Amino acid sequence: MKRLLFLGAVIFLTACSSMSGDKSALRSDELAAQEAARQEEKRRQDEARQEELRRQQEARRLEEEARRQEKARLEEEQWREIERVAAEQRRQEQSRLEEEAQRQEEASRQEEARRQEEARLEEEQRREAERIAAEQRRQEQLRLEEEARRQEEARRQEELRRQEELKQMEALREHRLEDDDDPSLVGLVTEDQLRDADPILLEQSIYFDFDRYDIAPEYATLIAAHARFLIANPTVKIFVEGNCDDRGSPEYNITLGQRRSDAIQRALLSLGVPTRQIEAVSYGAERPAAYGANEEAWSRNRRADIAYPMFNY
Amino acid sequence: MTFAKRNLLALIIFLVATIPRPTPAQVSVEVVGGEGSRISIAVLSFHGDETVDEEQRIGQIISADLMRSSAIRVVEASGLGAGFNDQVDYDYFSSAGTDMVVIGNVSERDGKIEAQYALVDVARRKRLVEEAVTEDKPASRMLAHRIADRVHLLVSGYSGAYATKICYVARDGHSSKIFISDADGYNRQLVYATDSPIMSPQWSPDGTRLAYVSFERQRPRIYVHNIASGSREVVSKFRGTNSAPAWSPDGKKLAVTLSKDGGSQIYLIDADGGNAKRLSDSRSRDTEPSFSPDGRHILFTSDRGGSPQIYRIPVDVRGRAQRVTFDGRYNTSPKYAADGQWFAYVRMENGRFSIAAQNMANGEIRYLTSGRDDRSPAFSPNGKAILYATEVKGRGALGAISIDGSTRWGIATYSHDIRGVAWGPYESHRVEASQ
Repeated sequence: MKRLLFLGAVIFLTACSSMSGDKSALRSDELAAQEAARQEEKRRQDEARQEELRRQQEARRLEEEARRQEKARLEEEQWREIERVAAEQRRQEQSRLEEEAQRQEEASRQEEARRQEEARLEEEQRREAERIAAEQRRQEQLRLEEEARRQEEARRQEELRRQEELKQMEALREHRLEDDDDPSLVGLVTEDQLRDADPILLEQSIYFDFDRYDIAPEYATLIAAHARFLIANPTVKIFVEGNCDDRGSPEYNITLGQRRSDAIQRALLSLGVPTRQIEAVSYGAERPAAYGANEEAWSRNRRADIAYPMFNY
Repeated sequence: MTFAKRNLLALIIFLVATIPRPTPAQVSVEVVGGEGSRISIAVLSFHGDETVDEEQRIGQIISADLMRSSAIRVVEASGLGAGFNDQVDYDYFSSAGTDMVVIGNVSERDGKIEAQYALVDVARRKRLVEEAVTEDKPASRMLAHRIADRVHLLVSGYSGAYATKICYVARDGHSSKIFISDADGYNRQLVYATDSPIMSPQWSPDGTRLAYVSFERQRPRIYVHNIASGSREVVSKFRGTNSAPAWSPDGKKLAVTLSKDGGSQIYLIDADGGNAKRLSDSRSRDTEPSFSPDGRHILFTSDRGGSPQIYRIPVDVRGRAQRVTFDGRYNTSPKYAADGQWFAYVRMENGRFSIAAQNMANGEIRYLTSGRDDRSPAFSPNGKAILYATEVKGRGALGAISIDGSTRWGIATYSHDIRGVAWGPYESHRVEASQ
């Protein structure tokens, strides 16, 4: 549109300049004709006038022609211009279009690249996810395998433990049970089991004064706890082992140790422990807990031990 | 000489005896009295064994044996030698106050060792006996012990019991070992070793087996162990405690202490186990049975009187237990002598445990030792000496003393503690441990 306005202005200006030139030429012709002869002048004037008129007409015609030509030229020019502009416009449009197309192409290329990148990323993510999933699956598999292995190991351990327990029970039957013992008395005990039942059960020694076998009152709780445990565990058979210090006859000391273990046995029986679960024996001075010919060692050896069949595993 | 001086001497001897040397046994003899009534004997070096180690020479071994007799005074004659066929220098030995001289030859032939010897009476200037003895084993000390026994029998009327074995249980920490050795402590052999306590070994009358208490199966049980074969069996495994075995003189029974019926009581069982017959019937602690040589009585320890004392009970008929010790407040571990005249026991006074002997007939008491902790007396088969467990500088040792208290000797064991001793019968002298 701007171009069209500009074109209009140019055409108008051109037209104005040509009209002012024609007026000044007419006035100089009239002044020259007055001086020469009036008739002549007049005829000449008429002739001239006619000539002038013809000339004028010719001029007008020429002018008209020129104007027409000019106009045509201008129109031509305008057309050309219009065409040029249009061509330019077309060109520009074309280039714009091309540019646009290029841009679009670029955009679509970029879009494509973006899509591709996106796809690549997606692919990558997918792969990563897959990898992670695979890793997780692998981990899970490993964990399961590990778990299975652990379970198998635990089962094996449990089996070994069971076998060991059976072996120890057999050894128990072999070593600790008398012919007249109830063969079911092969229960084994663990330290944890004792601790869980009552921590006091881990105390298994009762101490005595020199040549005495009476149980000091302070042991009542201890003995009662052992009695409860034995009643609750009827397959467990204990030995009560009497010991004494090493002064005097070893064999006579055996009888003192026996007195001590008998005393503990009586106390347990009175609390309701079945006879079959207790065997009172004496070690005399043969298995000292402490060595030395002094009161400290002696007092540690004057004791009765409650010996459970411990499961050693 | 007072007993205090005797003990000092004995201690010095034990100190010497306990210095470790390559040989397993050291014997030191101390004669503390009765010199005047002893027969003096010189044992000359035998011809034929000059080359062997001096300690292993026949004459030396016989001398060492006879030195442990309370009936004989050995005259030092180590520098003198005479063969079986040599003439004894009667004037020399007569002037030296020697009553008897032993001379002899020794030779090895076909892998055996043979000794020919003569016992010569110096006063009567004649040979009393000419004999020969043979042993299968070359360099056998037993050959010399047999000659010493024979010489002892000829001059005193009873065997010296030199060709016999002794047994003891040595304890080191948790380890118990049963050893046997010749009566002089030489030729020690391990019979059995275990990580459990063992105590109270007793030799069977036929010399082939040992009964003892072993704790290897959680409780004390009595085992009978064949020394030569090494086989062993449990003969008493009653519920509770089985302890204090004592062989009957015929070897068919064992008196034992059982707690199966509560307390500690004495029972009689078959030597191969079974058939428990209760002998003592008390609410007291009865233990440590010892058969009389005729097998009709048993001595044992009981606290029925309020303190441990020794009682006697008949075996085959029902009868009341008779108390036989009244001296002191602690008398335990009775052991009949083979002749039944004496029994040895452990008495405690002022916290010290020592060996004493009491005459069964007249009640005479002999306080034989006064160590701090002497125990487990065992008679020699001739009834003339008592072997016991003692300690020297905190180590276990064997002590021995003649029944008259005149002669004592010691055998080092290099173990921490001795948990029972036994002296084998005459029949034990050829027994060899299986290992």
